[in-house]
Amino acid sequence: MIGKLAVWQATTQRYTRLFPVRIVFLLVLLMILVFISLSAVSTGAVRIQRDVVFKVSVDAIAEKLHLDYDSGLDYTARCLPGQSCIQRDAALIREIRWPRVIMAGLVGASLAIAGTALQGALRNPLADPGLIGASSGAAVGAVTAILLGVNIGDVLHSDAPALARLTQSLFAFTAALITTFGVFRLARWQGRTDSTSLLLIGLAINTMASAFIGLATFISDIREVNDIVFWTLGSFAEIFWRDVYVVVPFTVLSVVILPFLARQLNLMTLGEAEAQHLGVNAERLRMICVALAAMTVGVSVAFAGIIGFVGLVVPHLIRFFTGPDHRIVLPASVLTGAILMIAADLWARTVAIPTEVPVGIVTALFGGPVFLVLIILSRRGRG
Amino acid sequence: MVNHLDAQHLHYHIGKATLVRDISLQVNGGEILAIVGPNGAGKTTLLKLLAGDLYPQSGQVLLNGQPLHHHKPLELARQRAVMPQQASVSLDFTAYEVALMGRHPHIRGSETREDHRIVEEALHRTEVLHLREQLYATLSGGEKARVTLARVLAQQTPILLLDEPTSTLDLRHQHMTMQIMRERAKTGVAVVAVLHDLNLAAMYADRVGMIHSGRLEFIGTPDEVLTAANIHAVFGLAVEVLSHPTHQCPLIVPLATNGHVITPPETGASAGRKVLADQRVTSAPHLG
Repeated sequence: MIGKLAVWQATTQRYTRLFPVRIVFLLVLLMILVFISLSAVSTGAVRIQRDVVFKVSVDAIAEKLHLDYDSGLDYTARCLPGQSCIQRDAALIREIRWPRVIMAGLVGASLAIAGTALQGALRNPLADPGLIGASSGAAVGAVTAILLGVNIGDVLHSDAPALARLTQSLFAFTAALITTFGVFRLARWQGRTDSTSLLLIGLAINTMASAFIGLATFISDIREVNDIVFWTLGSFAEIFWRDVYVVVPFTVLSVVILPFLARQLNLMTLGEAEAQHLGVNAERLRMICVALAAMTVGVSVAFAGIIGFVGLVVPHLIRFFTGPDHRIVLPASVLTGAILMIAADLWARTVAIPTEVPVGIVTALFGGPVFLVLIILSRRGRG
Repeated sequence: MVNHLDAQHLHYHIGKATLVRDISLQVNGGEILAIVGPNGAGKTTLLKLLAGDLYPQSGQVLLNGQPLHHHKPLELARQRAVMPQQASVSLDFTAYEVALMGRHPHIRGSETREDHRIVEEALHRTEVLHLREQLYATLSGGEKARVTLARVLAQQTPILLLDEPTSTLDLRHQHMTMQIMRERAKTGVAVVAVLHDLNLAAMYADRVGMIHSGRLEFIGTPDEVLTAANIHAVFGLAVEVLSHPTHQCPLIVPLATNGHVITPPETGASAGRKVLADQRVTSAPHLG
């Protein structure tokens, strides 16, 4: 009897000790994220020392928060032609590199957490923000804007190129929401949503969307084709702070709300009826997850184009290391999604200087093999 | 603790197929009600109506005097637990984690030592504590059923609804399951179990309800309901009902020669239902 009690206590301790282990795991991921962000900001056509990046960033934050801090960098040093100088580097770091890296992080985090939430809520490991129509819908919206040549600038009597981009983003976001809502609505039957038919309908919508985009590419002129390729392959080129400010609230909304639903997502793995027997409102849970995923993915695609595979692979990658508990998988996928996307964008913009590879190609290039290896390894692990 | 489940004139159909016709029954705390009947009689549908998974087209289910759908999902989950026929888990959770999910309705924030103690006790009671670190998906059918039973027990509800809890279990664990139900009933829990094994129902149930074609044909004590005539009428099988050598309960023995069930299709309750006279008897105790 005493032996048995000891075994029980050992199990309890194993599970109560999980919490600190998980915190350490998340802290390690956070450190990697900070490190890779600083590296990404320092790397590019112009190389900047990492300590300069760090000091300039700290100075910028101190300035924003009105803190009395000075890193000792001399911003007034004269810029000589052909040499790097603090003034020019600081501008590059603050206005070009950081917004791009932060946007990559936000989009990676959004796609990954959306994928995790969808895979849980729909009880399907194949669920991906792309599969419920959010990504392809957004691309269709953007392509429509390009084809019609609509531009808010025309209304405002301004010909700033940023307004054309903003118009396309608006179209993309709206179309993402409409498409996802449509897929969800079509999958609803007698007050219930069947996950399998949701995915199948998403697949059908995706096929139609890619046909539309293909047709659009076929009938467009060269300049328009360039714009369309940007949307369908994804890129973080020409991202500025104003774009980041639009995306932040959506990502934050998902990152704050979804972890509260982690335990309910765990219960969903038992089955919808079983989750309901344990007090989960399955229909509402699914609606919240799909709505949040559609919003965050919609706004991500609106600024960065379609970036495939991150939403599908990251949840599998995390579960391979941590097990399936959403309480750890959700926060870990946020950090990992950000890390991987920043790394992918870093590679995409530095591998073929002075041109850039579309980041969607990079994620698919690396994501595909990683996914294959994961599937084979986890099959072995199960014996 | 007043546990009372009251089904009033339940009626449920899908399209033209009527699955449950005008069934009324009550279950009180402290008793086990066994639901028996042939395949497709509507037992599982009835259980789903009692659980609140399905809404009856007419009639209602009252839980402690309140209609079922007036209770919030979480509140309902503290009142009744449901054991499904088959339970699959779509991600690689361990047996322990699956059983711990049963504590969900009681957990605020994070699970406590008390939650872990309850889960471990439940796993110990269903004899699967040694499997706790194994992946649920890699367990055998019977082991899965026992882990699921532990999850249901860990929910600690005053009402238990079980859909064929013993169908995948070996003989020892069939009786273990029913003994656990007896223990729970003794503490005031109301148990409704769909059973295929009439002898299990006879040994452990306080009352037996016999369903046929969506209708509750008979309900009462095992002695009243499990008679040769009733079983013949509902199952289309000739049986002899003996008295159990050690228990105060009926013992049902199917009559068969040369592996063929001797029974002609009858009128009465089995009218309209084709019963194959020369249906092979594959396993004698399982009459379903």
